[in-house]
Amino acid sequence: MSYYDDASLVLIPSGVKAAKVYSQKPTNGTGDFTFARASTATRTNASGAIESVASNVPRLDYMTATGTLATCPMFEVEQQRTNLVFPSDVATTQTRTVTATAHTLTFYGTGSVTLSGVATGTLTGTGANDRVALTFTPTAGSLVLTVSGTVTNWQLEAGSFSSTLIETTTATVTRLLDSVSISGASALIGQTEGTIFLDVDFRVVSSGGIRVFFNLEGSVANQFTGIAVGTTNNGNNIQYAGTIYNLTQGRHKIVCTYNSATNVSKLFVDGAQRGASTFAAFASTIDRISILGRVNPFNSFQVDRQQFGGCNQFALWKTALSDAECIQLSTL
Amino acid sequence: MPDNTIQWGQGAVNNSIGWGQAAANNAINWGYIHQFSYGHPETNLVGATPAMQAAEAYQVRVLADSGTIEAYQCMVDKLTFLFDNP
Repeated sequence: MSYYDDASLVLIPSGVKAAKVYSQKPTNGTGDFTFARASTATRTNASGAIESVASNVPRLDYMTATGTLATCPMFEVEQQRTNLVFPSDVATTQTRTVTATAHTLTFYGTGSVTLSGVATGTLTGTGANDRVALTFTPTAGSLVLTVSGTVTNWQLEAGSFSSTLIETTTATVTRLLDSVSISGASALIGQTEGTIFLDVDFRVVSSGGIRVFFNLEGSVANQFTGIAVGTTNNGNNIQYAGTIYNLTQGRHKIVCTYNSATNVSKLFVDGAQRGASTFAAFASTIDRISILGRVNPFNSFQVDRQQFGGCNQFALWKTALSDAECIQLSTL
Repeated sequence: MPDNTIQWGQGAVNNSIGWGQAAANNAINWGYIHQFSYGHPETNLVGATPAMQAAEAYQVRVLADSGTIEAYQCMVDKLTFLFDNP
């Protein structure tokens, strides 16, 4: 037997279509994830080019959180963001109204953008294929962005880190959130013991509440029954049974086991055990899986629990794998 | 690896000139059908690994459902890890 043979679900992002991310296992489609994003978005393809992706189509993205082009894609999950500058393809000097919250300016090219008005600073480009970023917190009011030289694919968004490019032409544009989940999947989830594996490229959320990496949960009435592994309020840590493990931006492999017979749950990150907890049996049937987020009581993705990241792999087992297996699986 | 201990049928991997590796080492799918049709675990002269077979079945299913596939080899590589371990 093997990890694959023993798994109840294996997802290596490779096949997609509108509203669906295909899993490799089970092979009958019952493990395929439902995907939603009610707006267009962009991705970086295998060649490093930015291209538009239609509404509700999952993004197989090759750009890592640290700005390097990966050889294998991940499916991208992002929260809602708005690009406040337009047009995005070639920057022009303009004035935008902003609020007194952290904003991030990004662009490609060798030119520069100088801020004045309600904020000050200059962001200078380093190359046609390099994306540079500047995070700042203005006072509320009119922000003047003065463009010099070649500045392309630029974006100004509220937030303390950048998200993928939101293409604009004549007005601001909002990219809505991505959601990935399955309902009615109790047969794929270990109800008394199991293992969850997520290989993620973590974008780092510096604020905004607890963000979920993955979630196994019950029905609407039992939504709080299940297992959720996510960040703390600070956003860049895993909080697990009181143990906090600091995550840096970039790729991480997370494995969580649970076993109601032994009353133990364990968390492994990047090749080592990072936490352990007592684990009681689920109070009701667990039938829903969500990746990089969770579902709220009304069967929609819970916006304030969603993560920014790319999923490289996701898998479930209906048994608790051994410590040695978890260490192997979680080793980068 | 070949499922025998006497080196039988390992010529395709135990050489540095690509002998016997055409079904894998070409970009025009030469030998593709043969590779998937006549594999035996005792050798690696030809034949798809379990990971390759799973990837192929996945691709067939996705395309039949009007989906799109990319990064096929990445999928094979990751499936190979899951099939070969623990």
